[in-house]
This record gives sequence, structure tokens and C-alpha cells, in this order.
Amino acid sequence: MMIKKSIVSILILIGILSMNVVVMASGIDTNNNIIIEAKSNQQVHNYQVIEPKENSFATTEKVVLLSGKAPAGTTVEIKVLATTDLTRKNFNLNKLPEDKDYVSLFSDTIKVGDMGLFSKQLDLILGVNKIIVTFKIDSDHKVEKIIYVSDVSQAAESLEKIGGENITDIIVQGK
Amino acid sequence: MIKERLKTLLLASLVCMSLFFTRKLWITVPENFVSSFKSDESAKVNYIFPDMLNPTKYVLNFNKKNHTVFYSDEEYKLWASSKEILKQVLSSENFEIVKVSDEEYVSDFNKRSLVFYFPEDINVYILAKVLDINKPNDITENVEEVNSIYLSMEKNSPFIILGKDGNYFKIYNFNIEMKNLRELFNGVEQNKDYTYYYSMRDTLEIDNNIYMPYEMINELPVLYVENEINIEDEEEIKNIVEGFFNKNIDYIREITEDNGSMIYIDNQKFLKIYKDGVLEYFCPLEKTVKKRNLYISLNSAADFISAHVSSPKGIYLSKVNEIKSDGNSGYGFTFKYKLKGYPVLLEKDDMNGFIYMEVFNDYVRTYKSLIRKDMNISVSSSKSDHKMLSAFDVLDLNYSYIEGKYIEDNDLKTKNKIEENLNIKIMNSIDDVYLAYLDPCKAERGEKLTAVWVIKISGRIYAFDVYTGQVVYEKFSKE
Repeated sequence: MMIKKSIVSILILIGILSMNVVVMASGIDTNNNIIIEAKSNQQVHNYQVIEPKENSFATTEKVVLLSGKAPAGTTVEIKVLATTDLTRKNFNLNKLPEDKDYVSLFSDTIKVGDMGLFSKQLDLILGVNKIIVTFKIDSDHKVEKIIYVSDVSQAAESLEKIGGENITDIIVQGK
Repeated sequence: MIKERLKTLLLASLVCMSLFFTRKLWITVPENFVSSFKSDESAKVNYIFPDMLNPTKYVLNFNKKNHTVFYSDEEYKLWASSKEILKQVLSSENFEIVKVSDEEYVSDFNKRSLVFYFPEDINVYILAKVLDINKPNDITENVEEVNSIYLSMEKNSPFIILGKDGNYFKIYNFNIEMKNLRELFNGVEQNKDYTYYYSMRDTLEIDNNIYMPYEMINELPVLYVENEINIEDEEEIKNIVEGFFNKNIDYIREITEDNGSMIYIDNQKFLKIYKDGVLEYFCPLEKTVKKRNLYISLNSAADFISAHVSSPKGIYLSKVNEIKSDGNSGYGFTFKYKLKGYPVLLEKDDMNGFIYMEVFNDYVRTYKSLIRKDMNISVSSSKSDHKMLSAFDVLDLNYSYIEGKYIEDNDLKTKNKIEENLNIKIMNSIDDVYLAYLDPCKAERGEKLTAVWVIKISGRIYAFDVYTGQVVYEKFSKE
């Protein structure tokens, strides 16, 4: 009886450990990227968004650099979606828009060169912006970044509201 | 009796008047004359000497993710304003100094700050002298040489960091007003008319602190140049020759070579003007110089350039070598040039800079120059036809070529050392990235310069056309 229990426990343990190596369902990888599609760790390591590092953050900068790495020849699709507060729904990082609320701001497809690195400087607008990077491999591998852009006065107002919270978590690039 | 007294009085008043005028003539007038002569002389030297030690690159850090790089001071006068602050710092009695680690120095680039880079290590005492400080403070003893100067632009607790390659010193607790400089700095940020530069460390996870752009918003102006010396102009040549020999050309021996070069000889002095505008001068030392002095030698070089270069604006000191010749100790100075605010690279193999001179304290022994000047031809911008490529773009376009050269230069094939992450290693080896003009030196007049990205990787200098991305110049040096 005891032996059976031990064998079952070991099998369950092996099962749990091997799941991490083989498949990562929608979650967060070692580089903090939101992973939409299922990918092995090794593949995730080869296809990375380096900058921005944070999955979601607030900033006062309307220009952001997207950079990453992928094997030479990989096709990378970059989409920027955005939504402003014109709808008066007061979107922010705590209250994210639904997919239907976004409009397309920019779209481009690039091919990674021999250097194995790619980059694109992106213009954002005030409000919530979503960057979707799709590595076009066997099955698409997507990475999403959410950036809330506010102007300086708005940022100051938010800071007053949040009071004791950690400021750097809210405004990554304060003035 | 009265008549005699009047005569005596008249005589006494004449003596007094003569004494008064004598004093005016021999004491006051020559004094003024000498001082006006002195100020003239210093104005002439000052025009060029501080210009010699000008930064070639300015990094402006607005916050962690917002940086830009300038190459000249023409628009915002940041260096001109910073010199005043440095002058006060280097002569201040109240300050504290502490050594900072490389990590701390790199992380300070995420704070609001202004960093000036020099092409050559500068002795801090010489820098203090250039800034016209009579009695520099102890900072000159703590920090020997610098190749970068960091000025914090934070409102509270200002500090500066002086240093070079891993030897950085933070100077703080000084009471100096930096408001004017901060306003200039804020003005640049508010204008937003700049190209964003990003740290390779943050954006590509490369162990390299170089900043480079990924998208360009400005263009380099189109630039045409001509030789400063017009060899066809006899009057101009006469003036140049007489300027070097300090005597009438009729008393100087002249030889014209078959290739059109002209040689002028007077005693042991020698001057050669080549057809392509290169000028070479040699003058033996008047006395032995056993002990070299950098400050005196730089002053002599400045005087010499002021006397023999008609438009010295934009000339900067690029390299200093200690030299020895026939028991004499001196310096070899290489000067380069900026045109329209950008450094100019010469394609001519035998000219590293625009000017090379050997100076032994008060004496200039050899001088070689090729001065090219802006023809100020206005050309309409071709913005719609071409878009300037970024430094990242040219690296990406030419990566295979660069990798091939890297393997060749480092002999990796024979050593069987080609690694899996060679791209990362190559990116780590980037020493410098900057915008410049390339002068092909093929025409004496009306030569169009090529706007290039200069990228230095592991001893090899590449110049890539900013519009086509093609390699237009490269040179390998193990130095």
C-alpha cells in the first residue's frame, strides 16, 4: 500500500515538473512577457521582447522603444492598439479597456536580420496603449504589453490620489 | 625784485608741468599700451586654446527612457554654460569628493543629467588652466585625467562626476548655482526636436554603455568643401610663405617640383605645399628641450594654429602622444575638425587628422595640415527622397559583413573559437557610434561630403552612408 502511494506521489511530482518544461499556457515568462500562445521554455528564450521590460506600466513618454530578439529570418508582426478617454470610461491600468474599445494605431511586419535582433520606435497616444508582438513561427507566439500614457499634470494628480502607494510602480519614468 | 620772483614762479610751474607730462608720457601711456597689447594677445590665444578641448559628444539624459546625443554646442550652448560651472567647481573651497563604482556611474544615466565626452583623456589641471583658473583646488590632485564630465541636472543636491574608464569621482556638497544650465537643458527637452538615443544595455541586453538611435528625426545638412589653400593663387601662396618664414618671399629659395608641389627653404627651415592642398613645415629646435610641459606645448600649438590657419573654428584636439627626438622631449598633437557641428573623417590614408604637429614646449618642430573649409552652398533638403538610417539599421544591414571582418581580425577561424552567441560578443565590442561627415579628398573644390555613421568595433573603424547603409570607408588599427 505504502509502495503504491510512493509510486503515485513520484509520478505526480514528475508530471508537475515536466509540465513546466514542455508547456507554458497563458502566463508570464522569465522575461516578464505575457505569453498568449503555448510555447516551450526553449522557444520562448529564442523569441523575446527585451524592451519594454514591464508587462504593463504608466508613463508620461509618448515615444517607446520596442526591441527584442529572434532567430534570423523570423517574421515579426507589430501592432499598436490604443484607446483614449473620449469614451469617458476612464480607462487606466486598473480598469483596462475591452478588445472592442481599442482602435488600431499602427501595424508593421519586419523580418529579423542576421544580427538576430529587432527594434521599432513607436509613437503612443494619451490613454491606454496595447502593443502586440507576434512572432510568426509554426504556431504564432504572441507577446503583449500594456502602456498607460498620461500627461505630467495627470500623473501628478494620480500620485496625489494614490497617496502612500509605491510611486515607481505607477509612474515608471517620472520627471 | 617782483620780476625775478615771477620768473622763478614761471620756471617752477614749467618744471611741474614737464614732470606731469613726462609722467603721462613714460608711465601712464606705455602701461596702457602694454596692457592693451597683452589683452589682444590673450584674446587671440583664448580664441583657439579653449576650443581645442571641446567635447565631441554630449549625452542628455532626461529620464530612464528618454536620452539624446548632440555633437555640437552651436544651438543650445550647453558646454559654454557648463564651463562656468566647472570653473567654479574646480576653484571652490567647499566640496566633497568620493570615488563611485562603474555600476553607480551607469545607473546615474537614468537621472536627469548632461554628460560631455572628449576624444582624448584630459589632464584636469590643464582643464582648470583652460578654464582660466589661477589657483585650482585639490580636485586636480584627486582626479588626474578625464574623458567625460557628468553634470547632474536634478534640482536638489547637484553633483558632478569626473573621470575615465572605471575611475569616476563624484564631487558634491558645493554651493554653486546651476539654474541657468538647467533652464537650457529643460529647453531642449521641451522643444522635443531631437532624435531619441537608447542604451544598448537596456534595449538589447548587451554589456555595453553606448547609446544609439533606432529612428532618426533630423538630417545632416548637405555639405560642400574646398581646400583652404588655393595653390593657383600666387598672392595667397606668397602670404602663406612669408607668414611661416617671417620674411619677404624674395629672400626665400623656391623649388617647383614636376608634380606641381612647391618647396620653400630658408636656412634649415623648410615648407612644402602640395598640389592637393597639404602643407608641410619643418623648423629645427632653437635649443634642447629635456623636460616636456603639456600646458606650454598646448599654448604654443594654439598660437601656431592661430597664426597659420585662417579659419580655426571647429578644430579640436583629438590625440596627444609623448614623443622623443634627438634627446628632446615633446608632444605629437593630432587635431581634427568639425563642420556644421559634426566631426569630419578624412579618407586620405596619409592624414589621420587635419593637423599633426610636433611641439617641444615653446617650439613647433613639424607641422602638417590639410585644411578644408565649408563652401556654404545652400542646398534644399532631399527629405522626401531619402530617410536617414539609424545606427541600429546600418548595423543590421551590414551584420554579416561586420561578422566576417570580426572573425578575420580576431583570427577566430584558425583558433576554432567561433561561438554560438557571436552576435552578442560583436555588439559588446562596439567602442563608439557617432554621426560624421566623410571627406573623400578627391577634389580641391566643390567636393560633396558623405554623411556617415561611424562605428568602431574591436579596432576597426567603419563609416556607413546614412542613406544607403553601404560601407564607404573602413580602417583597421590594432592601437
